[in-house]
Amino acid sequence: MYETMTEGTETIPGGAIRRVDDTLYEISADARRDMRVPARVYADAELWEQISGDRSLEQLMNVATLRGVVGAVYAMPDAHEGYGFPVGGVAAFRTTDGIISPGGVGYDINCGVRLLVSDSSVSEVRDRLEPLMHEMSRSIPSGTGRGGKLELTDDELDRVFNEGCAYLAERGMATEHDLLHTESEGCLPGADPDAVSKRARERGRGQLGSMGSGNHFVEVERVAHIFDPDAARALGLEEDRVAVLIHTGSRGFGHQVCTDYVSKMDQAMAEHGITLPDRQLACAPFESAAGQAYLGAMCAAANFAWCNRQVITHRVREVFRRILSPEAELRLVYDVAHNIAKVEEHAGLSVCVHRKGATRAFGPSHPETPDAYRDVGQPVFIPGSMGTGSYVLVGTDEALERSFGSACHGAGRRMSRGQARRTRPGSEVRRELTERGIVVRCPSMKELAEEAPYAYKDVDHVVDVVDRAGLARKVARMAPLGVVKG
Amino acid sequence: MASKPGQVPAARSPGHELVDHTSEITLRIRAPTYSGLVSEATRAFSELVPASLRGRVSRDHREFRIEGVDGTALLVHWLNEIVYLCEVEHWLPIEVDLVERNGSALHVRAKGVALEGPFVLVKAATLHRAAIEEGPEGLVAEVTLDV
Repeated sequence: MYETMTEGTETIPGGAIRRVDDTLYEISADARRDMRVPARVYADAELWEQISGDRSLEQLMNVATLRGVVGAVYAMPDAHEGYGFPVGGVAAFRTTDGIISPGGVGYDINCGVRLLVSDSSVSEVRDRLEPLMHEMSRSIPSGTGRGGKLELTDDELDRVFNEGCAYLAERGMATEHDLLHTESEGCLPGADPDAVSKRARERGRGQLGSMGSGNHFVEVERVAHIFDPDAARALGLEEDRVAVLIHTGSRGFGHQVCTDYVSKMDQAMAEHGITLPDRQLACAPFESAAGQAYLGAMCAAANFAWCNRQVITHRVREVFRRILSPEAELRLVYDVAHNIAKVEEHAGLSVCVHRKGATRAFGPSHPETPDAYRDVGQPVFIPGSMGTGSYVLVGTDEALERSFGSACHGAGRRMSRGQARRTRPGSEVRRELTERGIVVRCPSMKELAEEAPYAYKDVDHVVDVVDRAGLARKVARMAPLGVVKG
Repeated sequence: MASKPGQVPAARSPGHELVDHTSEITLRIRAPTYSGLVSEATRAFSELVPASLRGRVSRDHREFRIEGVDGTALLVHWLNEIVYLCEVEHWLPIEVDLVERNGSALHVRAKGVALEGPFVLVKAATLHRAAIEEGPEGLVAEVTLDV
């Protein structure tokens, strides 16, 4: 574990760590002989203690050794140990001579979050909250392996892979507004269905429109507090307005793509002369056949994930219209990925930015920020735990230089599932949430106990550091009214 | 037979522990031989599948061929085979009766149980800190499962 230090430079075992300011630590590139760039950690003293308490820093330093890495590698304030890359890690590699790594994206490719805002206030919904949540839990498959009620043929799956949400617009499940308010308009170009294994197809088939298990959810929220009225207005948020936050990813499809390519790259690394400090960092040169095949399969999985959240959006809208009013509207504020690799230009270089458990946070002047948000920056959503609320932020232009335009993605777990189960039974968690007026639908008491609020870190603290570090700006805080857990 | 957490299995007899972390489970497996590790890893994984999901034990054996650069990769890939079987084919191998390793290839024959539905708690077996070491008790392996 690395020591916490006051400002200045001190050499400690493992290398030199400098506290740059009250939200940034830097491990210099000469901390280890194999590091090519420094490792920077956005954290205050308390979060630094947490981050340095597991193997996150060692993993971040490992990432700094990879071929073609540029600038610095970054850990976000919610960083914790992952597989290969730390969760909450950001790194960019030159597309000319750098690598691409499935471990740098993660298993749940394009796991992400989208926010919908309704035209109803809390007082208009409160009486109908129980049936609303009940219908939502019936309409959106959740939990372990329940399918998505949308069986697709191989040809239809290929259209999902290639066209993303545009295909769903054709099927009447997405609007033009939805596409324009989704990162990359809900479709990464370059998907290659031929690079997707039969196994990945089989795992993904039937899962479109399903939430999955674990920390995935659909949450009905109210806008509890506005920090930035101008930005909130641009995003269409006002206090007491009802909103819906959806958190899920590419399900078994993405998991299988990652599994397939970690295995392929593990077998191909010798051929490319790559040696690694951790095998889960398995990678290939970006421009190699293996690198391009992974990119093609990952883009297909990313498009599948955007479609997954879009189909769930369609179901949520149907429920709102059925339970509240046939005219009930749910407008998509934005949809952001937090497990993805994308080719971007930074400081005049073409790089493949890996964001694993990190959200893109482009500022107002970035060309990929949607037109509607050019005055404020791209929306960023940071969910807390069930029961604690979530945050809406906007990206900053400064973040481009500070973190390749990235911010954190959530509060992060602080307890194992087993530890959470042993702390309190699910029935007690449900009772506490009910007493606070939060309606919960969860497949089992066991899963409810595992996802209890105390099993997660303090989201307020994490978001505060993101804001103070200039990675993104706080716009609003959301409070939960009802939760459907995966 | 599973060991309780913290309890070291008897010397050179197969055993395992399932260690719970924040978003993963680590399998710690001990066995006198590589074949024993594969069998024990299969047993360890099967303990994660709730009894309520299990159907009848099949009489038939199924055979699998796995490719990987070394013994560690082969063990991880075998566990990923089980992940896929449980999720898509609703079939859980519970008893391995043949393990043949020939360089980069692993041949496994197992019997198992049909599942009432998909088991998707485990999303993948990872190479994260995966290792097989030889010690006084035989071979000791660690594999981390993403849950």
